[in-house]
Amino acid sequence: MGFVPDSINRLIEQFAKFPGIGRKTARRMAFHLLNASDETAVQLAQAILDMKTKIRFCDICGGITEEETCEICLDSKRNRNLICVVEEAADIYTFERTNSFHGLYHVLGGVLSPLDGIGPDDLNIDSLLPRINEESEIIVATNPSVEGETTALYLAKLLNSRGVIVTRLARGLPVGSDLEYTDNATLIRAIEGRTSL
Amino acid sequence: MSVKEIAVHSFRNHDQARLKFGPGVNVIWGGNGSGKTSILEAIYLLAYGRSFRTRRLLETLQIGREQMNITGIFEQGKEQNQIQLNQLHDGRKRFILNEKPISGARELIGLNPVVVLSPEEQIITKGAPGNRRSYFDQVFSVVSKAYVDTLVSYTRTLKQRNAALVRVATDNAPVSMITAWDDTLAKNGNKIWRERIQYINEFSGLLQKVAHDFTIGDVKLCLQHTPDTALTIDEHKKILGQSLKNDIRRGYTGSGPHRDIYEIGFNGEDLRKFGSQGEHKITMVLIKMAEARFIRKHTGKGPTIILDDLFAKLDFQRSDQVLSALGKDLQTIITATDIIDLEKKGVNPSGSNDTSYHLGLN
Ligand SMILES: Nc1ncnc2c1ncn2[C@@H]1O[C@H](COP(=O)(O)OP(=O)(O)O)[C@@H](O)[C@H]1O
Ligand SMILES: [Mg+2]
Ligand SMILES: [Zn+2]
Repeated sequence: MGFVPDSINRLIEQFAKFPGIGRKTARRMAFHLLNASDETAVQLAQAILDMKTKIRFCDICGGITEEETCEICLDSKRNRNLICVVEEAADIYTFERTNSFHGLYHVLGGVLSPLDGIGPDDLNIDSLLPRINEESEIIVATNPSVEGETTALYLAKLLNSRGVIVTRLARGLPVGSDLEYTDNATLIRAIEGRTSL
Repeated sequence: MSVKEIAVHSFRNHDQARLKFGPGVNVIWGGNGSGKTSILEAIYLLAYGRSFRTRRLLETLQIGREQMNITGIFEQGKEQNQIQLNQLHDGRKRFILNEKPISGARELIGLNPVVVLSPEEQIITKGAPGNRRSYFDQVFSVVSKAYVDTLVSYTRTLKQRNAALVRVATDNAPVSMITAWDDTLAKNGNKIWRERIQYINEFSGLLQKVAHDFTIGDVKLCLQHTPDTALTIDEHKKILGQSLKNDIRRGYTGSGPHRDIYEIGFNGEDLRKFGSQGEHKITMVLIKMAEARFIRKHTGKGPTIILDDLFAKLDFQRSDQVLSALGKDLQTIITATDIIDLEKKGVNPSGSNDTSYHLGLN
């Protein structure tokens, strides 16, 4: 972008990297900050740094936390035999938003995708095994993409052989849709109507 | 179904053009290079979300222009649909249906079916097995959204499994990277096989019937599988397991519907091996007639028939026959270099449902 001083341009570049943010919006954000008070700018910068230094992955589920173990894993009121397996830590909050799931979570850190070099060994599957017993039910809540389905089938095979019940969210989530954009009512129905794999 | 109107901006050699069509016979005529085929291409683009001439849509943007636009109005009984395509020179494109952006091909296909007879379509009978697979996949997609979805899933799964085969062969990745995909591949493959077999039997019946109606002879279509029959999910998984070593060595999956071969028999002989030029041409026309009937039977929509340059290449009697057989009550859009010649062949676009356009060279 010509005529725009380099320091603003660099900020625009950074904003434009965010999902859902185009160049136009990135520009508006940068110019908004230019007019904001110094204090606002410092608070923003500090918030970003704090998050990056304080946040870590939960030792048990792989979700995000500021401690060794996340609040969900520590919550004694939750059903320890029910584990919802998700692709990304962010998916946990999609389920928590519904207020209707009272089990625990496990974050895979992705889905099977050889095109991206990802096989079973590259997912957090080993850390799931010590968490299960004969009473466990595992809900596989990967996205309804080819990769998500394949990952679910792979887990089902692995866990069924250990005598664990494995279920999948009910159909009704459109293929290729993203959990993140599924409304609460649909998601609750999908949890309640889950079917065994 | 009919195309009411098509307008193009900065598309191929057209700066701007707007053509209105009647529900009967429509003729676009003009010298070579005047842009006749391009108009047909524009209609096809809105019907299928892709061109019948090129895989690279950007090729159709007029050289030196920032963006192109195609707008079409299609009529379906009392309903009208407006479809727009906007393509920018940086590669971005948008399809818009009745003012709402849509994802493209998946939503367009089947909405306004058109059947094209053009010299390029000769690859259906003459080309490699892959050309026939793509052709029939497209025909089946027009009548079944479920087929489109399964095909997309299958193709993606195959790509993933093949990528895993290469990773295992070159990076020593564990074999589970491959076998994790066998379930999904077998499931989607089985769905495709079942739909394909049902559709191809039906299509073959229609083809035999039109060939018989025109006393052309015995024209048959059959589907060969690798391995030799369509498999159940469990059978396929077993075969995938047994041929794992071979698959790893070759770097691709050796069994499945992606290896299906369509064979066309003409009076008992394999058309591809033994067919004459004339036999190829007439078979192509028969296949297109069967396609029009197949689409109508499944969707209830009579497709628009598009005939590009074909008249010059079929003999007198047959072009007339072809037209009346194809277009009795279907909208037809024909291109020709010479309108007098077309009239001699029995095509006379002078009824109240007909139109004719002359494209001059600019
Ligand atoms: N992207 C483009 N920009 C400008 N002209 C083009 C483009 N693509 C093709 N053309 C030209 O458009 C002309 C029209 O081609 P076509 O539609 O095949 O004409 P016709 O079918 O009447 O012979 C050709 O002369 C071709 O060179
Ligand atoms: Mg032409
Ligand atoms: Zn945790």
